Amino acid sequence: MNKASILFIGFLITLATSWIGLVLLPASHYNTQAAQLPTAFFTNQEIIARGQQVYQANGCIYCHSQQVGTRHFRSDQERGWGNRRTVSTDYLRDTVALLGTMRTGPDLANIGIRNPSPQWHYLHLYDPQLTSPGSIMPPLRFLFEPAKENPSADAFTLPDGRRIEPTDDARALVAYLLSLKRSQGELPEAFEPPPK
Amino acid sequence: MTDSTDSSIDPAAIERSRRERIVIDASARGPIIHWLASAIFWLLLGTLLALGASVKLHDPEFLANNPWLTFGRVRPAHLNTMVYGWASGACVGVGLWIMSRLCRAPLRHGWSLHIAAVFWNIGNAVGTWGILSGGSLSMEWLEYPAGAAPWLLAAFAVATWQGVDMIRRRPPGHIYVSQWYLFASLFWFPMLYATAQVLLVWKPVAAPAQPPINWWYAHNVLGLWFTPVCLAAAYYLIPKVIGKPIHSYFLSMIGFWSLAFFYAWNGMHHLIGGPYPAWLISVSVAASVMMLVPVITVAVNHHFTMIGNFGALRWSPTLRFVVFAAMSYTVVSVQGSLTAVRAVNRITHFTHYTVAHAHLGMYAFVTMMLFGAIYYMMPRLLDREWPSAALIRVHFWCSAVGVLFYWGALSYGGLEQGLNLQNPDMPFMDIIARTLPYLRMRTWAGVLMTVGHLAFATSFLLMLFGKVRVVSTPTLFIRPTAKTNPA
Amino acid sequence: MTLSFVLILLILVGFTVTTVFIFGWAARTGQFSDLNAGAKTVFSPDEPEGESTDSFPDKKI
Repeated sequence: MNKASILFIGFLITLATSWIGLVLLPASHYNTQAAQLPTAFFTNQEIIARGQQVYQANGCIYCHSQQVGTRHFRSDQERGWGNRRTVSTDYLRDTVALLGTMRTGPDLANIGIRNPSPQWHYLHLYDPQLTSPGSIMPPLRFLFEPAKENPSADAFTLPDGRRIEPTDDARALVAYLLSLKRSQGELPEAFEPPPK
Repeated sequence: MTDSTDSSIDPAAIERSRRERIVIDASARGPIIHWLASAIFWLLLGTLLALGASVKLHDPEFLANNPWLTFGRVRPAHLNTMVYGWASGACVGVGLWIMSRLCRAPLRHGWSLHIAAVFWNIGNAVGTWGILSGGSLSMEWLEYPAGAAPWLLAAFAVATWQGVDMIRRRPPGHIYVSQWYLFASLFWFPMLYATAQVLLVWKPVAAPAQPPINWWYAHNVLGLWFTPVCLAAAYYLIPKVIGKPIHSYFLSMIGFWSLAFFYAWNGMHHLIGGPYPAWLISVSVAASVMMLVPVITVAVNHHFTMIGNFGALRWSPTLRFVVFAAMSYTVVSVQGSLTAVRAVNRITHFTHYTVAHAHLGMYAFVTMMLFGAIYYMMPRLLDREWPSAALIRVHFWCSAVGVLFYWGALSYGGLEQGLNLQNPDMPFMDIIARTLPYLRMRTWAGVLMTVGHLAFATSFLLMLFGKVRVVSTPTLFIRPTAKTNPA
Repeated sequence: MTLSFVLILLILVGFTVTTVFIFGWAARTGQFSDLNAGAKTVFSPDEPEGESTDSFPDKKI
């Protein structure tokens, strides 16, 4: 262990092996899959893409996951978070896979199916206590503004009587959330044997 | 040059080696203290962000109306300032000093390290500002917007070059275990960071491939950057403080190579149950369990080195932090191996238990080890003593008790949360309500840790700028006599 | 997927062979001959083995 050059080769090799297994293989596999998809598959409406950026900028992933597990492993499906597990194909359309790392809040993979009402989302984002008392989600009031002289169609009234309307960021975020319907449709790789 | 195995009482040899050590410490003084002081600044900022994030989880209205302070931005800002600003910055400072000591090679071209420290700070400032202003990339451990990476990589390139420069000037003979770890980590980190930046930020791969790469990166930063530097510190400081060599050099070799091989395959255990093929997850679960090999090796080595010397914990501040950290390394790693098993992960994934585990690693192991190293280094770099033993004691006890309380409360709360999540009949809001007491306990633990950090920062500043007793020789700590040193 | 498995298998075999080779080289060139000497490199004549080098600032003799 006295030759620096041997050490150097050694620790290069160890990192390289895991790089091949955990970085190169997944990257080439999914890049190939993505390349085989028709370009139309990736056309996200601009508003949904912007909404995803608002989701990223405000750190939604730190409390919300977007992945439905298998029935035998987790109770996600029994909770109503999806009618099947999500598989990697379900994320091919995204630019960033926002799988999330904690469930301080519910999973959002299929929130567009579960909560399809924009009005509910606007209320919830403005102040989560209004729709979900006891929630520890932060209020995102800064995504809203007082209703203007000519209020927009999605302006709404708070319980205390004030009229507010969403900013474009809020509209985009809600459009993104409503687009989350990952478990829609059957996929052969998502097949699970029925529970006993 | 210096034959360290010769226990001669030749005064000329002693004087030669003393002068060599003075030169080395003097060469490191400016640049290393620049890195350490910067790291401590980020520690304090990161602590503030941590308190904010913690309070917001049980009191969501706290400072909620400003978008810069929304939880979803404060939380990643906390993580990144701590990972890059505090821990990585301190690792560079500590690592390069230990390297210079072991290579018997003074740091040359210190100006380059000063510039590197400035670049490092700019990168962290750009990154933190970027996250808080709404530019987070929303990838764990990689949230700094793209503008930060070039500064960080450029700064780190200097650190790697300095490490190589010292390795090449080392005396012939053995390369000590700490040097292997440091040498390796100085290359591993930039390789990891550059790969992640290219494949996730600059030329992003297809979306499903991103989480594997993300977690390959994040977990390897823990295992191939922080762990090697901190183990290098332990392998150097424990023998230096107690005056006894490492128990088994052969074991340390096994520990190094098994860490290098197994650790790099662990990353996918963050994605258990996720939308990935089983083989990808299983290889990481297997590698995570195999980590027991290097971890137990290191634990046995450190324990048998310390045996008979635990009394030293009474009179050595460095040793307190270092031994606490080394024991935490064993605990958090064994916990990690167990948590990677699917049957356990099923319960713990997505819960506060994981946050507790992360802090046991990054704080109880990494941060406490860095504290211990800094307590050893500063008097030797500055020719001064620490101004107050009381401040050191406050720091140690607040940090140690704080992190253990943090870990206990959140682990228990997280396990309960996980079990509840598996019960589809329990309403989600009820699960959240039950975690609140533990989240409040975590805030109190955080307050305790903050007090410790303030004590530490105060000591550091007083030592840099205050009027403390200056002694002419670098070895200030009077060697304990048989009365004070039961070893 | 089969190509991936073959690739991984080849890499692991290659890695094992390289490791065995390097260990063989190390044993032959005497890297393991004096392990304990390596452990003592942290010491020097002015900070020798057997003497400690740290204490609390208020612990004066």
